[in-house]
Amino acid sequence: MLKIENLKLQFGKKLIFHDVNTVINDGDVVGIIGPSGCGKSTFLRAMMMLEHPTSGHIYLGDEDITSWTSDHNEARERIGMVFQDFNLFKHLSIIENVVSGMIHVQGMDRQEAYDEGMKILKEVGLIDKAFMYPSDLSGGQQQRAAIARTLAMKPEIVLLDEPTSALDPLVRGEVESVIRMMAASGHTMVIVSHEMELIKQVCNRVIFFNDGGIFEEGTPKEIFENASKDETRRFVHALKVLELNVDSKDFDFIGSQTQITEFCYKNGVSKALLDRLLAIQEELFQMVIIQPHEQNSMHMVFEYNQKEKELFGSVEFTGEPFDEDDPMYFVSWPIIKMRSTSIETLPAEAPYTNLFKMTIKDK
Amino acid sequence: MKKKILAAILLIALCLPMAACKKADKQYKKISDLNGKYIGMTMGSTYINQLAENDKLSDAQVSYIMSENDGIAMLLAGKIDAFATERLKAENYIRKQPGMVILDEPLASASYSFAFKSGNFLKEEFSEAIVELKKDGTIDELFDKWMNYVPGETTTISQTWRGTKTLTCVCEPSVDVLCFTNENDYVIGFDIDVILSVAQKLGYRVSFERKVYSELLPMVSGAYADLACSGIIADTSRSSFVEYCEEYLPADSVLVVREGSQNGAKNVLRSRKDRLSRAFLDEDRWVRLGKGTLTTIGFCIIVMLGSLIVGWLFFILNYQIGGFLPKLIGAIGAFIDLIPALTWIFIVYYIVFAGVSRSNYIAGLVAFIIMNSFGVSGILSGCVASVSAGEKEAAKSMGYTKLTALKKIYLPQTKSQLLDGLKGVTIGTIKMSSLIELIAVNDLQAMADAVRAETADPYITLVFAALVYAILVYISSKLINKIDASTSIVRSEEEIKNRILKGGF
Repeated sequence: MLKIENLKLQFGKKLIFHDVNTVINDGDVVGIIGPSGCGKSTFLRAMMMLEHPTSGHIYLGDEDITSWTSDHNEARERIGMVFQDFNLFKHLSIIENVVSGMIHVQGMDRQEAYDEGMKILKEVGLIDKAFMYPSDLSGGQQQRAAIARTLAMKPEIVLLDEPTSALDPLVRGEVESVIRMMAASGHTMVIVSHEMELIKQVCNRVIFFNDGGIFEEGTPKEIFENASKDETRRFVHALKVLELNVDSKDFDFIGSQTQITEFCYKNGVSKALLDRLLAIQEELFQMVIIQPHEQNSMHMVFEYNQKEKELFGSVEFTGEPFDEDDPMYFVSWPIIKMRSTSIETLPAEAPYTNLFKMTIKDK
Repeated sequence: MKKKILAAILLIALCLPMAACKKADKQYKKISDLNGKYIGMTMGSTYINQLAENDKLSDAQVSYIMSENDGIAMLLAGKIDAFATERLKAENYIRKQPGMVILDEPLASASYSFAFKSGNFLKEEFSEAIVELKKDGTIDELFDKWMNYVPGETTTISQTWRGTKTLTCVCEPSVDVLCFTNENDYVIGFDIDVILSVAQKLGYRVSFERKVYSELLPMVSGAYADLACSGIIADTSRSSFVEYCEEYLPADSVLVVREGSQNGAKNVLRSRKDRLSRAFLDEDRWVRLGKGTLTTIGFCIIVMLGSLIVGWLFFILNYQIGGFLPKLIGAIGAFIDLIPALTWIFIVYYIVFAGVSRSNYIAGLVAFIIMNSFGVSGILSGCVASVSAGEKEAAKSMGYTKLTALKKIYLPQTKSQLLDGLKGVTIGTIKMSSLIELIAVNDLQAMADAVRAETADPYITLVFAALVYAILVYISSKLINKIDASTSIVRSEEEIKNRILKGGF
């Protein structure tokens, strides 16, 4: 078991992460996702004591491996790591790479280590490459060899730092199948990856790392289908977001239309969808800001799913509760309904009084 | 057309006798002929002052030479027009090496004496003793003895008496009759016998140390030696830091010039067979050259072994421990890198080993080992730095200690780089080892120079020395290349398996 308490890492004045608390139980396969540069790989390296935490504790079983009295080399023996760039020892053949830790670090008998190494290479499908050198192998084969080298040390927990990122899509599959095999055979693993499908399939827990720490944590279903936080949802669905706030009748409407147009061009939104969105935005502006006597405010969030090519809109506004039969909305509301694929009115949270949620898809 | 042909024939016929005429040989006959010419003088010698005081040579140019035997070689090679020496030495040089003549008119009149640090009471003691030895005829007897030197028979006085103290006398044993070495490389000569006679009279013993001529007076004035000899001429211009005792032999300073042509070097060299015989066979000089070669080989082997051990220690101190001490050592290494190797050797010899007698070989070893160790440490650091950061991280993540990772992962994959670097250090050591001649170690270069001095033939032994150094460099390069080849990547399944099972990695 690996327990992390109040872990913080800072490089000079730059805070990487703080207040990180989690427990990785035996048998867990934990996926860590998050935007690039959020510190997830650094978090993994800190678990390995490759980076020394500024404060906090990491307990491997009963041992606090962050303590200055702890033998860090011994702790690293118990935790295995697979790197994005494989990091095989290029002067050693594949079998030598696999047995090197067993012989030099764990002091195993050489014959025993050799036999065990060959067995592991067979498991990862590299037995015929045992006597070749890393430069003779493809990227996927090298990564499998790196995994074999890590597994040979019989670690209590295996950390994988973006194991397929450096591989082209054609060979990713061979590494992913080895990772699935490891998960199926009960290895405790922590995987940092951008491969959402892999995370969904092999992990029993997912951590969304963002804003210098664990932003949200849950099962794959919870994170990928029912994320409680917008940032999590947007990340896992790769949503592109545009937010607009209107709080004055003098609002630069033309400017906002330009903003919308730029957003759509940048994210590959189709012309048809853009036209519909512009029309909806115009009608909303008329309906909520221009026509009423009072000064209303409106908050619009548009999220575009590039994969599904659909736009979600969430529009909150103040003013009288919305009544679609109100003559004031006689012109605009039908246009809005017509232009969106679906729209529903919902109760809003203060300070807003109205909430529209709409979907706009290419017909 | 016929007229043109006839005119051409006549023109050629007129020119032919002129072309056949050699330029007339002009012999320098008097001192004033050398005004504006290049005159060789040993560094630190009194001739420089004498030249400055001679009105007839007001425009003469001084070429500094390391020793008078170098002067002979340069004169005969046409590099200089004359060189200055004492008449006694000049007559000996001419006897051994034809093709030179002494100008009748002396550069200056002077006398031989021994040099002491200014204010040293020994000077007075020696002066009184020399006066007595002149009076009782001892000086004359000794002079006759050494003027009629027979190799293998004539020896210096044995120090059979007990002395109240031992004096240190520095000398350059390259002056015939006065101070030179015999076939067993012992320092002998008239100067030596005079000093020993005086010492016996005064109740002292004497230890003789070899230096190059330019260092004799600095050694005395710096109190590293009690006195200096080797045909030193008393020069009052130096009285602020050295003083001279009573003269023991008169000495004129003369100029030696090439016999015959003024127009460059004349080939006065003897036959090849004769030269080879003189250089190697006469007086068993080949034995001394052989011993010098063995000294060089032994010196280089010890230096390389020492450099590897000390260099490894420097490197491990920095790699494993770090902190202030390695930084300090590194700063010292950086300083040594910046200064010439010879300067560093002199620093070690004269300063570090100050007051330690007969320390030349050890000082040379220490200087070279320290110098090379920084190179070895730098090579090891370079090897580690060249390993990719990823592999270092992988080793660390597997639980390798720094030392185990160094031995099992970093160095094995940088073997070629390591051996290449060591090859450079080895070659540099072999070539630079010739510098230890200057701290009186009888290595190959020193023996080649000694034979060169004795035979007054600069070429044969220099070529011999060059060949030996080249062979040593070649053999060591080949050896290292062979080690490199033997440790290249193995490809066969059998070899890899054996490497794993039998501890080859």
